[in-house]
Amino acid sequence: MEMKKSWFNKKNICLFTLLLLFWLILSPKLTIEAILVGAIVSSLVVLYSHDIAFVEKEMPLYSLKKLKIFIIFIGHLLVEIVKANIDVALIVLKPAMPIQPAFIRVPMMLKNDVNKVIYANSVTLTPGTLTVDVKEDEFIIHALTDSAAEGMVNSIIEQYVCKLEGEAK
Amino acid sequence: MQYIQSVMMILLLLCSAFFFLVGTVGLVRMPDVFTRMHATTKCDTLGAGLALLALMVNRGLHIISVKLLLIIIFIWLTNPTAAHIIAKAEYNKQNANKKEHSSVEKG
Repeated sequence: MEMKKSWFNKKNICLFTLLLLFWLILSPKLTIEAILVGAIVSSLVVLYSHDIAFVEKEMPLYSLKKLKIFIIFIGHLLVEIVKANIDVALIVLKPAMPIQPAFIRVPMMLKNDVNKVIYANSVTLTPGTLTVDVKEDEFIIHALTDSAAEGMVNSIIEQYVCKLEGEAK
Repeated sequence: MQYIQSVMMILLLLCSAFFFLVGTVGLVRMPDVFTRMHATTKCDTLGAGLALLALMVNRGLHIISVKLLLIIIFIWLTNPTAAHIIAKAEYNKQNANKKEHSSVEKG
């Protein structure tokens, strides 16, 4: 392993560019000092975290095709969030409060850790369902109502995350 | 143009305030930790999201809008993580025999 060569691989340059871009968006004015300080700080972060960011086995996730699926997924997720929000708001405001809280086990259909995080966070973001625990072979999800629990079977989130996972093989 | 912008902002802020109100009412009315988490996650996802969206409408196409979008993204990334930790702590605290699960078939 040649250490000198490995600093300038694709992975580190991607990470550096992203960090620098983020710094430039956050900086109030686009001056030479801002760019210089940003470049120094970004390279320090790259040096510090080069072994944990963009690990080899996650690499198949970062492709243009995946990005397209991911953007469509985010669009669907936004619609789901708005729909679910209105549902939960109606439940809370009803005087009788018709809730049937229950835990559901969803069998693990994903292998990649990043996809597991995406799935768990998306489920929590949509109100009515809440990821409680991620175990080796299952997700434990808490559902507010029966309809939310039924919605977890072959949900839109699951379909899209499986699509993200599927082409990674 | 100014008029449309103001109307959109007012509508977005009203919706945002409504969702925060519902979230808070839910927090008080719900019976246990998990159901309360459902009410509060709603606060942050749409409540804070719509408030920040109203500010983005106010600014229009500007670098500040991009910063506000980044704030929304980071709130939406970190909020489920925090909710997950609270729920997991409560779940592990309960007795093992109290837990009842229904399983979902593999689709």
